Amino acid sequence: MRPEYYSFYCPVKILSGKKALAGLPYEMGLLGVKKALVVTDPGVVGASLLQKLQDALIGENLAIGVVYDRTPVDSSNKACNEIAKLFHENGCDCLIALGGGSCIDSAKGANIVISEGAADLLQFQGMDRLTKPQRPLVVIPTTAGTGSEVTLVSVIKDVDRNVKMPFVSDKLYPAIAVLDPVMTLTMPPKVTAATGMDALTHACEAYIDLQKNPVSDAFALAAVKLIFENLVAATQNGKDEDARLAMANAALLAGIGFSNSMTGVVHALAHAVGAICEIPHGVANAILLPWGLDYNLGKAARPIAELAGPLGLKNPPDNDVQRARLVIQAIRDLAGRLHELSGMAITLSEAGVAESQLERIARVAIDDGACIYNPEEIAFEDAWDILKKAY
Amino acid sequence: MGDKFHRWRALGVYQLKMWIARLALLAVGVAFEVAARLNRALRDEISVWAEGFVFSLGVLPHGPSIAIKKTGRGVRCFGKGLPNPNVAILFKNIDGALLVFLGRIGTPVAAAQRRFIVHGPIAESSQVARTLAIVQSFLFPRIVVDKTYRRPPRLGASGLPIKAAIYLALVPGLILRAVR
Repeated sequence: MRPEYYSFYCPVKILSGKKALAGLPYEMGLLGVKKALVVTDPGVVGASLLQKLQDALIGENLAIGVVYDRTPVDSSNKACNEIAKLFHENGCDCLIALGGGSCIDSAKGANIVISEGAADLLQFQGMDRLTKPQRPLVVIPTTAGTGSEVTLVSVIKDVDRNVKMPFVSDKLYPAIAVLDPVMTLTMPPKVTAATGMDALTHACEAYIDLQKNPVSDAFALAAVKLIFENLVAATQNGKDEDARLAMANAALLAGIGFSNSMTGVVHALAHAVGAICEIPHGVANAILLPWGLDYNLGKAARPIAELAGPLGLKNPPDNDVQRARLVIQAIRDLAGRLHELSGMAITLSEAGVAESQLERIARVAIDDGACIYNPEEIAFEDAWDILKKAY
Repeated sequence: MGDKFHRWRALGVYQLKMWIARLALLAVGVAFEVAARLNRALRDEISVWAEGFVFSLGVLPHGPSIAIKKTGRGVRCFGKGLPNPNVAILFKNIDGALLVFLGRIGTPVAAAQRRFIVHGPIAESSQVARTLAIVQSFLFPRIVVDKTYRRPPRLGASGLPIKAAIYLALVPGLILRAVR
């Protein structure tokens, strides 16, 4: 199914593989930058990953001007303003985001403040609102799920109003993404499982949404295959560098896919679950993905069924709906296996959501921007119904 | 001579498209005002907007635009737009805008095809998109609405009288809003 019209964009240079980090100084030299501000968090510093970055820069013409290591769990507008201030005070000319989604989104948010010369980040909410070229941003993910190293999106929390604000612009794409397996080796099994399911959700939603197109499809299908082949192995044995690298690539491929076809009802609900109940995004996605696909069976049975191939399902039936149901069951089985291996929650109640919160979550979810890209319409009652099933 | 004629013709077609877009936008504005008074689903949607909330619909770079402002329990359409709206939905070009204004594609598909950009909070933009779906369901024939929306809004028993009220209001409404 080809769309009548689509556009596709991904200008990120990708360095992927063992010792990929060693190639960073040369690539940054090509960008003409000399002094970097590093955005990271205490967990990354504690796992000695900042040290690995510092080691990679020894003897090179690139210095770390300053390190911001206080990135909150949810990237916030206050953190972005602090980072921007540090950037100017230390005469930096580029940013390096070292960490998970929060560090990457904080760096993107700070870059908006720096590059637009903005006093208030809020004025740039929306789609395609940025007008000026951004400072070079290098992303070194330490989780394998968000895909933010190759996306045009940044989600920042307005701490005063307690709402998450999406910023969407082609100018938010980083300049370079570095996928080095040593940067994800220390990720605990539960985080590995949840972030991997986040990537799977990106890939699946990218493949079924209204904005799907032949180019994003290719990325999404490749991501699904890699995830089904490697997520269990990476969760079982965190030191398996091959599985780690495969998952890092899967997250990246899914990121490119969904950055060009967006996400749907699963993300709309997961954003609301995260905002109201502070459940990690990957866990919320893992719980809601099978139910979201099930909800879309009426409008998207064919694309869901087409996932049977990359999932490696043997002798699937010809009927689209039956095949799609098998795909959904395979995803449930994967989540179940990850639950056994890591303790990752597979129901909302298990994750700590109270039943009384479901109605509010549904009300917030239907205002999420992802709803518009979902194949099936989502009214409040529909969202509430999915949540009750996932509870 | 051929080149000159082609340029004049292209310019004429462009101006015609601009006029169609302007009329279509004004029609949406008039329909929005009438439906906001008479349709409960639309009233419920706009009830969450703060008094004075403004959204605008327009065409880049210099095309027509309208603004809808919440006033009391209803809305008021401004045919020449208003400065600093809370949410602005801006079509990237006139052809993309006409696909939506003439009922060829719905808002979800237009969003998926990235035909427009949004300035302002995404949550409020989603609410605006839902209200526009309701208004268009009154404005367009059923066959168009069924084709362009994932689940067309159900108009209910009051649907036909509201549709009639909107059509009756269109001619005087278009003239009035064009100068407001």
